[in-house]
Amino acid sequence: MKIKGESEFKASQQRVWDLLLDPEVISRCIPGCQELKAVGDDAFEARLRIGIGAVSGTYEGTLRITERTPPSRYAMVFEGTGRGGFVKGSGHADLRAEQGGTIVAYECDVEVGGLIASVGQRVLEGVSGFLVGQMFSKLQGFAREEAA
Amino acid sequence: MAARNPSIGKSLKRKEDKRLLVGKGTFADDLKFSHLSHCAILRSPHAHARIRSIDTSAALAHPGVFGVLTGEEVGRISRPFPTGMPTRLPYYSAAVEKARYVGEPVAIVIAENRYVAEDACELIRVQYDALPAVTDPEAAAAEGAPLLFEELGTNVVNHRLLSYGDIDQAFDEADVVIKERFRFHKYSSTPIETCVAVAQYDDATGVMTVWSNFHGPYSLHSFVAKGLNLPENRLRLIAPPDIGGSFGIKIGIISYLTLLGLAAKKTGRTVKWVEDRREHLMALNSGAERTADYEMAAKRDGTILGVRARYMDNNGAYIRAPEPANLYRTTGNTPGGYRIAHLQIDANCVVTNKSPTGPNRGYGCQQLYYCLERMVDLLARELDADPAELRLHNLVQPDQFPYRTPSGGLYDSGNYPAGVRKALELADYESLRRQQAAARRDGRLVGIGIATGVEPCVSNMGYLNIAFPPEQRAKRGFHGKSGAGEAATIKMDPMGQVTAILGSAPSGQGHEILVAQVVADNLGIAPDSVTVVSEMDTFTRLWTISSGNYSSRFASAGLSAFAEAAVKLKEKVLRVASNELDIPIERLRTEDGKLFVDDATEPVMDFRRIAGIAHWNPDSLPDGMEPGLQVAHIFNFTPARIIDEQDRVNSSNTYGFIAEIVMVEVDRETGEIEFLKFVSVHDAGVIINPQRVEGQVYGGLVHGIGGAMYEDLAYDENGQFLAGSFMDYLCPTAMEIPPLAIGHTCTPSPFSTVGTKGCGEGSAMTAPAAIANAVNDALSTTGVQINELPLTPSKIWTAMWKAGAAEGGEAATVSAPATSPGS
Repeated sequence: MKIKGESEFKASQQRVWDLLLDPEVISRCIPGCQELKAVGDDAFEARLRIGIGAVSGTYEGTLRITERTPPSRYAMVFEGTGRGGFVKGSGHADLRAEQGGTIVAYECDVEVGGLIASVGQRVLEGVSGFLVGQMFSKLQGFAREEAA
Repeated sequence: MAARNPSIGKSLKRKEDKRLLVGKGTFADDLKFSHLSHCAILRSPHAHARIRSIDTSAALAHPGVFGVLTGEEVGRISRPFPTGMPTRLPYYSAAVEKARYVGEPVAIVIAENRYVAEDACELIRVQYDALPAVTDPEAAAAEGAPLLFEELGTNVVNHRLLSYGDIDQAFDEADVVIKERFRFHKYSSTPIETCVAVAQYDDATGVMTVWSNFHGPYSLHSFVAKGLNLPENRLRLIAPPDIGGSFGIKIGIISYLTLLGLAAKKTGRTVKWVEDRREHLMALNSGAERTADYEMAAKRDGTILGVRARYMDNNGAYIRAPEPANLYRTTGNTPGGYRIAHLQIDANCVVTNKSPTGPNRGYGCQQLYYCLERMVDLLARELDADPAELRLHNLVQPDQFPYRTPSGGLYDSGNYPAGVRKALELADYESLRRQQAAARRDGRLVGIGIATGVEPCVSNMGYLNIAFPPEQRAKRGFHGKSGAGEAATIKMDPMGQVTAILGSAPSGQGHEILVAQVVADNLGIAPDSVTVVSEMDTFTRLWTISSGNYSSRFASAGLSAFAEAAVKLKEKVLRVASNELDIPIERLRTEDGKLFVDDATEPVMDFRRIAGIAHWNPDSLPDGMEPGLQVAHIFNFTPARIIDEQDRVNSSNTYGFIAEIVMVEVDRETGEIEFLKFVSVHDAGVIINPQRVEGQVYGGLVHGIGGAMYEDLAYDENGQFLAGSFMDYLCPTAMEIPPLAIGHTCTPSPFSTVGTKGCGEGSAMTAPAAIANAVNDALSTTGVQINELPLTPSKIWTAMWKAGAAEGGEAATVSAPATSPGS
């Protein structure tokens, strides 16, 4: 599954960069995120509680930043497991300044296995897009607060 | 002597009806046990992965957990299941070292209840190293594909090139040769009741008892025993009186019987497991997916000379008995109802990272007839011939029976042209063609599809040997197979009442009333008075190695056993009576439980008196006669012979016939199919109970419609299973089923004692072909052809859209280009 999109921020590129890579901020923006802690340079452990279709459950996993070109691009790999099966994938985000704000273009390749795949495939893309949208709208909120 | 008021041929109501309708049936889940423990199975979320480690400590520490059995331990304490082919595969009841499909059992938790067991499953930590997966049979057979069993060096685990006649000569003499590639998809059945198993091990006697809704074939009893590493006389399988459907796929339960047995032995507890629907869809048997390349050679006059085909069967991750028989079960009926003298089948059994396959209502025939009947339609189009006329031209003729096919099938009886003509008549074919022409003038996409099929029933175990090449079969020590038997036990008690005891476990077909009808008519009593016992117990019942409820065998194998047993019992009754009355046996007849002399209307004695003598007073019996009135009888089909050196085998024992005509309209805007006509004509030989046959015909047809248009066990490219619920796996409901016009012809089987053939699989074999032919006929004006299933609206719409979008409306074929078979 591919998740792809753009999100527009009314903040400087540097500020958006800082937000996106702040575990504290990110953990408050990812829907259902119960914990996100740094476990080394550019490595994080996370615990999320998500419901997709009829399947809800807790997922534990790791995320590693594999590329970091401040303030314009970073890439990561992630994997997690839980009652609903496993998720693994990679993605990257490109930041660019535009009309006084910042555009974040993101792209993820996600492989989902187990229970979610077998009963949730129909809704998976929709739900994923929705969750990512929720995360970015919270981030935009943070950016506005900081800008104010 | 025929009964004066026969019950055979009447639609008597099922003996099972009342108990089922008021909720008093006894299914496997209803069986009561004391001190029961419950199991949940942890399954692989990966299509292909090495299992690095399994940590069960947290699960074992969980309150209420009695034990955990991992695949690693299963590998140590059990033996791999036998495979009915030369190549051996390490197939166990749980994943050992590697998981090879999504849903493969990795561990089983035994706990005080299912909730605790499920929770504990979540506490098991399994570390997997994911491996590349392969899901397509051709991709799996290609050089460099990920290997499921590295030690074999290939994913093609069984291959036979079967040649009958002179195929090269057929193609040399042909005026016309057509080629096509087909893809038949993976789908299953949806019995209302999923699998249930309860296992108990007695360490004092060493006897393992397993209660389950396993309906046979009991040839697999030995597989479970081997898996459990037990002598066969230490394994007792018991089935309850009621089973909520099987359609063949429940044969896959044998691996769970083994797993539960191991769990029972390990914990010393009586353990129970009930399969949930998702487990059922993702890990029990399904029918095999097949990619097939076909070539057909014909004369200009429409005579089909030969068929050459290459089957690539996707049998999933393991070869689960009786696979690879999807390739071979149809051997005898390879040419269908046609006189095709030259045949060549390049049969390939391929393992991939999908769930294992097995018999699914029609076993191999839906794949066979889908391809063959599409080819006949393509030939008709090539020759500009009417598809009905072309079929009539090639059918086996009524005076040719019993008819020996080049591949060894012995078609017992039939009148195939009569079946096709009856279907044409019921459909009013001429009128349908006129309606179609008119609809086409209006720009509508209306098509007519015809399919025929020979319905093989009562498998001859001999076909299982085809997986072995002749040189291997010729070796000393090779175990050749043959036979198709069934057992019947009938007792007349001291009061003259009759009890008939089955040697197999029915799964909802209504066998009890059929037995009552056949026993009653052959004995001279009323069907109501016969008590039929339909549980199964391998320790106490009379059964044969081929016994079981599969291959549409009960109506002929089962009822023949009962008919012959009833005749034997009647002979005993008459012998006692003759001795008592001092009247020759020839002058006595039985009716309604009484004895009459010659044409007298007043009885001279009733069965009660005779039974009383036989049981209570053996001293007065004729010399040499054993006391009591009991018959234990085994029936075996004599045409069930061993395979010959040229790979010819009579793979079944009775052969019915099906002719179907379907008219559809395809919606240009949505790709949806609407049925305008559905005619289905069957020859099931003598019909014992028309209502029972009608039920089977409907069931098979609905299943065929499901396979053609809805049901699809879909996987993504990584081998992730996508159809784990009824939201994802579409089954047709009453809303999707058109009005059906059903007709019958009857050619009694000379090999079955009661003249019956089977009808349990029926249109599940032919409806996909008939529907595909109708849809392709409808689409023919658009230049579109679709040679894969299921025919979903999106698939049809996409193909039409592509054709319309192409320059000049060029044809789009939704399948890969045809390649030469065997190349």
